[in-house]
Amino acid sequence: MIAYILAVCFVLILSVSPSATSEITLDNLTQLKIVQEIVYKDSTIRDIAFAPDSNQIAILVRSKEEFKKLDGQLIVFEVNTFNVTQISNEQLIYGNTLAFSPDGTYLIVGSSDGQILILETETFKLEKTIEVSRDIINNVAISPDNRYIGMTFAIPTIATYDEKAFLLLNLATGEEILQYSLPNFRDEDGIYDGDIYGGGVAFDETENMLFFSTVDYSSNHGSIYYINLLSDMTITPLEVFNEGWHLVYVDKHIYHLNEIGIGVFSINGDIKQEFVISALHHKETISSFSIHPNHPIIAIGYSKQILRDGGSWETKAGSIRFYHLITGEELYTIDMPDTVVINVAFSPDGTLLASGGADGTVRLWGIPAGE
Amino acid sequence: MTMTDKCFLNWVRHSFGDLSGENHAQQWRNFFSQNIGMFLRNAVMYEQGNIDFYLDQSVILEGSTPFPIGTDFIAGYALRSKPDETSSTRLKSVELGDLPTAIIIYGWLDAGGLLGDNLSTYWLLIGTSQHYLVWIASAGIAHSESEVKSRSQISGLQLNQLNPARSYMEYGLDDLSLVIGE
Repeated sequence: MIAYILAVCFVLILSVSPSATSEITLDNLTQLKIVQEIVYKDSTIRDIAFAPDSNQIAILVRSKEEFKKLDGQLIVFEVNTFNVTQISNEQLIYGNTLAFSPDGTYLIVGSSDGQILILETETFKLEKTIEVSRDIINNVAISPDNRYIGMTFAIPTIATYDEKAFLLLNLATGEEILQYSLPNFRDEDGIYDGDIYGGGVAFDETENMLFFSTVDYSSNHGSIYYINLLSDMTITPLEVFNEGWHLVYVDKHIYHLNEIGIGVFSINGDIKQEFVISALHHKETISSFSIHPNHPIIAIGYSKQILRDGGSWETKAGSIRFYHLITGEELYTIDMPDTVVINVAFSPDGTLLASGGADGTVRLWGIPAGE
Repeated sequence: MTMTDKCFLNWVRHSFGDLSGENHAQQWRNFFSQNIGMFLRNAVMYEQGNIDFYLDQSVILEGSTPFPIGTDFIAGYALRSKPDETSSTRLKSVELGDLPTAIIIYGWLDAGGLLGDNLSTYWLLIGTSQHYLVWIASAGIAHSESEVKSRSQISGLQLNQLNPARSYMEYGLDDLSLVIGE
């Protein structure tokens, strides 16, 4: 543990945090600067989440060398004071995804071995562990009233432990409310025979609607589903696409990663796709994306293949690209020649962009305020 | 020579029809060097696992240092017959057996981007307890990335030579290419 903490290196590049001021113009993107880097040696940044007040960042770190020897990989970082809280728990070793509750009272971690860990955010003490599956929990979200936890799973198991692509739990009791698995994926022996990855899961701000996405690697079909939490909780498929992955809900819109970029859906009585931001690039794949809370800007993280000595290609670099959410125009690119970008996340106050990489580094980018 | 042997050889001879001369000889050579030879090879591989075979053939290159070791398999990750994330490549553990505590990593291959777990950037070629070669996404087992990547990536030629492990012992139409070779 001590060695691990010592391995955490803070590099303060600027001592002044960006301030949340007036308008941020699109031109400001070209002035993006790293205000802080947090380096975890020989590790990968698995997931990043800002607290709703933007004062803290929770980071899941996975060692690339000897992760079994670590007894905890959840780090909470105070944005303003640079203080770090290392949350030690054996159960966090396989932490895969995390989310704060909208009111900031809970931090939830979903693990690669099917466990949900619920921490309160005063001291980040582990309050409860719920074993929901033996599959990988891909994404978690908490409803605005702290009543529900929604989660998606990846189901590429060797032993067919489970077959859920989505699960809705009661946060207080851990009771299962609803689950979803794709039908018609059993072989003649009754064994589940599909590779369904749950993508994103998100609640809307009214506490009425829940959205989640899946992708079926048998057919390469991606789907979006929604549930009206106030009615009979029927799971309704919205649309099927060629491929599909993560999903984010922001202000009456769903943003869905698909085979050519980010599909933008409006929710206004009905749900319909407005357009797609074409964001694919040669030898690059999209890893994550984040919508700016105040401005029509989307940040997209990429992995990128580069040519190694000897002529083989290796996924070893990355980039962050910014697109205009309305015009679809590519605005600005930050090349990351030394690391795959795995996560990007705007802070809820819109002043920071966090990126996490396969090089074990969390970078905080200050977004300069406009005139 | 037993009756069974004679029947077999007659079946082989007649299977070449009226061919004669060099054409006939070539067909015989092909049959033994490819068809029946590949069949016997794969039959042995089904029984004995395929790791030793590929080591003998230098498809898996040992190098001057021991193969890297992985530990702590994450249950949610699939073992696959090919470095490909489709359900048809997913193997069932019943036939393959559990992974050993120390998992030998025989090679790695870039994934061409992030895999479905949004974390793995390469595949690992590993050995099961029953001596089969299988593939797993890199985040599925704990290992030293630097140690693994100090070796050369598996080449396209090597990849073509690796017949995939199969999850069933029974031969079916799908196994034809495996039994007689690609």
